[in-house]
Amino acid sequence: MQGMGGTLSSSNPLILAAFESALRHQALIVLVLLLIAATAWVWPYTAPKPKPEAGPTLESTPPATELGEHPARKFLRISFGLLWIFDGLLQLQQGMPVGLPTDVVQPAAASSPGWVQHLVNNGVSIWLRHPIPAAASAVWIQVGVGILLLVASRGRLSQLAGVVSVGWGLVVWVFGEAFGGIFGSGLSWLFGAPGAVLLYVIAGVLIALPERAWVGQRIGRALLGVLGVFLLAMAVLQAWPGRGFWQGQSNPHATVGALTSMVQTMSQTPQPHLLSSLVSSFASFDAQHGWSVNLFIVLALAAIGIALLTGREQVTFVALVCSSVLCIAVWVFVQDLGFLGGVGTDPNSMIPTVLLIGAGYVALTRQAVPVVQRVDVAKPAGLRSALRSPAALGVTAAVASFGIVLVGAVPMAFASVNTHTDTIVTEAINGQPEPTDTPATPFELTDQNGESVSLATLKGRTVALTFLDPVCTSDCPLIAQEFRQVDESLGAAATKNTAFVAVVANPTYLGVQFVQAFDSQENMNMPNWYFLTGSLSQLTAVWDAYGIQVQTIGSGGMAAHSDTTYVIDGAGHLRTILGADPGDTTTDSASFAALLNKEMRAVAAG
Amino acid sequence: MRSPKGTYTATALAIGIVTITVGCSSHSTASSSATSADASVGVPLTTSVATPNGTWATFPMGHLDDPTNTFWELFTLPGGSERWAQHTPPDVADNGGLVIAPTSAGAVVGFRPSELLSFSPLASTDDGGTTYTPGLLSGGLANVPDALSVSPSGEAAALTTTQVLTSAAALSAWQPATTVAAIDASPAGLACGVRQVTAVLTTGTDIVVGLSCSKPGVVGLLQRTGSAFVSAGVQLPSTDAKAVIEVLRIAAYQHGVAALIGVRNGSATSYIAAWNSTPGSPTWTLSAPEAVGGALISTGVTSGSGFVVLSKADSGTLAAAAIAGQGSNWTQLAAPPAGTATISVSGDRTDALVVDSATFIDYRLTSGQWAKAQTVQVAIPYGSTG
Repeated sequence: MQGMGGTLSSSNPLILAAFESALRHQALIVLVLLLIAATAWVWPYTAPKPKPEAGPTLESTPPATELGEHPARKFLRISFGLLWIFDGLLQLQQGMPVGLPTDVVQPAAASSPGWVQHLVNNGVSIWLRHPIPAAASAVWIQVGVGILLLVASRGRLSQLAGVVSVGWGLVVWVFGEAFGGIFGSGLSWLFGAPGAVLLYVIAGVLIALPERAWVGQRIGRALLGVLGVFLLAMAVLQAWPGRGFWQGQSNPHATVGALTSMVQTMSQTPQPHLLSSLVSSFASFDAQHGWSVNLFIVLALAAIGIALLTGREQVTFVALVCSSVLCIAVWVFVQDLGFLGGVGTDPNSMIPTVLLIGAGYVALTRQAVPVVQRVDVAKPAGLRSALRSPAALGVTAAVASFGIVLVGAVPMAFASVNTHTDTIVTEAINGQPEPTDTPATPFELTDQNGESVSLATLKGRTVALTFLDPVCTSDCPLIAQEFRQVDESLGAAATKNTAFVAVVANPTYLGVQFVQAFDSQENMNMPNWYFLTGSLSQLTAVWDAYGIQVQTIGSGGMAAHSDTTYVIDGAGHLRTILGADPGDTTTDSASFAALLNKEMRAVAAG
Repeated sequence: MRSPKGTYTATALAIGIVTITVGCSSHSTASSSATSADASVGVPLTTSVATPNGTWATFPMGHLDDPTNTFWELFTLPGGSERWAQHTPPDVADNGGLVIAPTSAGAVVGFRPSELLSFSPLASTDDGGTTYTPGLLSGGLANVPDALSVSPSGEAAALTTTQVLTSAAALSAWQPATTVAAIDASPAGLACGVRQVTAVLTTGTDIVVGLSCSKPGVVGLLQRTGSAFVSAGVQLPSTDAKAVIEVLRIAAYQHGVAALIGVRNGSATSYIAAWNSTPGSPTWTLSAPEAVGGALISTGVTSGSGFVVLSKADSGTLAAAAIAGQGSNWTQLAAPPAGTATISVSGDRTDALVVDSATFIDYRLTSGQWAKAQTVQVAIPYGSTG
């Protein structure tokens, strides 16, 4: 009902069912991919290994040695691969299709400049236009990237895994994390700056480097140097006065410090009681000792940053231990593990930070170990034999993983270029269109130009009939714009054969001047638009005939009325009843417009 | 082990950049604060208006931290009555605020635009708010308590964000009287350096507008002469030559026009009432300035051409002062109860109207003490907007 706040819930059963269905379908495709990969693995071994004949058909050179994968690279590849898989599994949460963009992404961008919000809102709009394919795609892309990192250990495919990780990471960092909030106010290392996924991107860049780049200590020094500079900069930022980090909350009426406020908010997240107790306890502690807590954090960040910059093995090791302890403490007590609450997308920044520092330390202190490799120089006897090699198995696994990425990426790409909103959004809010076939009750009212319009005068045209409050502040202007969208999408040729009709649904503001003011506000100047009004008794008769409830709420509330749209065919029969509540977002409106368009076309086609 | 000189350089550079960046943003914040310290008093929409027919008051209720669940309520105290009654006009969402213009028989209430509504529906009553007749302003009322004015003979003036509109009668057929841009560009506007048009008043024959001026020491009170708006001639003492001055309210009274002026001198705020009992003449009688600390949260027009101001300090402490009319002095009222939204003064009755979410509580000032007199639970329509 207009004025009663129809909303699209994250737990809407239709959305959940569609999400599960999409995941099941895509899981089947993934299963097929895995079966193909498994066949490729098993097939070479289904035939007996060819016996050497008299002549040397398969020659082997003496075993050769080459450097194995650098331990630091392997550490990064496996750890970030697991993180991507974990993040992908988090995308399975049922709140993702609707909750992720509105509860996570938009709030993340709220304190950023207008251009960041604009950019992020573009991504949010795409997601909300196609919530099911978008949410399902995110699962497979991230799981696929993770598996790809795990299985592609060497060579170009492994580098490709790094590149894919960088690419998807940047998409998430920009559109999901609003650049990690680096352009917003309240930036703090404690809260996840510079964005957890930027750390995944850094790891991806390192994995994408040629393996020869890992020889020596260059990467270790560079990585630790960058992290050292970053932590020092974060220490400066943390220490900067006037940003609210030096205060806790001196008394219940005083302004709450930034850290205390953040931790208090996190403690409200749905989570196990033990964890919320821990976080609440820390909030209380910080409220009382805000200055000391911040001093400790500033000093710790600065000390770790300087230690990492020294490049000395022992000092770096101490920094690694200290940073691990600090990061885990911040992860638990400030970031509250990051992924709880139903729409958490990753474990936030502390775990990837520790992993990067750890990788830097390993890169500084360890070297790749030479491995013995058997190199067959003779031509393999057919494909089957070629697939017997361990390298071929790796390639097969990597290709299958890349296929899983594509299972998500392809629908995501189609969704991003498809400007037509999925009708499931409005169906989730209003229910599915209800077909009917009864004569529409006749009416005769006055339009915005003061002329009499009756249902009979519209005979022969497909009519969309709804009920709008001309002084409404929320839903009615959106519904009017939906009608405009449908009119535009049906095209000029349909103008003579269609009519978009609204009847006033306000018991007080029902004069023609209000209808005209509404039309002017909404630019409703289509030739087939009729905003009808009349006396209260005339209007009440129409409301009753079409089952529209209109009621005064009072105390500053708008007049409440049913949000219903009827599609009436050229013969004057009601053919479809649609709920028209536009919900919370303009995307929901676009979804209704798409559904109304479909229904009007169907009715017009008979 | 090799000393990483390059890394040290990068460190210094990065820290420098961060420091300069944060420093710059901090500096701009400090600049903003400095500007804020010099800024005008600001005109809150919350108000009370005492008329011979009764007293009207409007203030926000509900969840004030959520605009879609903040609803402005209208309470009336009919002349001679002891009890306030809620008479918010129905059938328009009023999350954007209400503007009250007293009329000879009652009041016209304007709904400020909010969310997707860009024009202002009106509601007029002649029976103290029991019934309302709908009306329409083609634009959206400005966010000030004197954005709407009705003369005793029925002429109306309205202030939108871009225009001053007038209506000869019946709150219809609004015509533009001038634009805010034209006021800005007029000699009087240029002398003021208009920040904002803050009030409009029609007496039937004259239109007066109030301004917030950026030029120090200038009182932005203009009256229409022919088609032009010229200074009404209010001059403050030379001690206020460097102050930022803002006309907060304009009210008509039996003998002329009264104005409430906010004077911001550094961090000190004071209020001056001004009266002109010979419309059109530049002769104004000024009250002594009354210093009231804290941020202004409400103003009121008292019966008898006076004003009342209510302010709130950072500590949350409220302070209020009232002046009865021309020739009287400001009176500091006892510290109003916590949660007071506005103060009304009608004759010898002074009320503090306290709001706590959906609860309205009236405190009356009796022998210098506030005493609870009435409580009203309001059925706030949470969730009905948005």
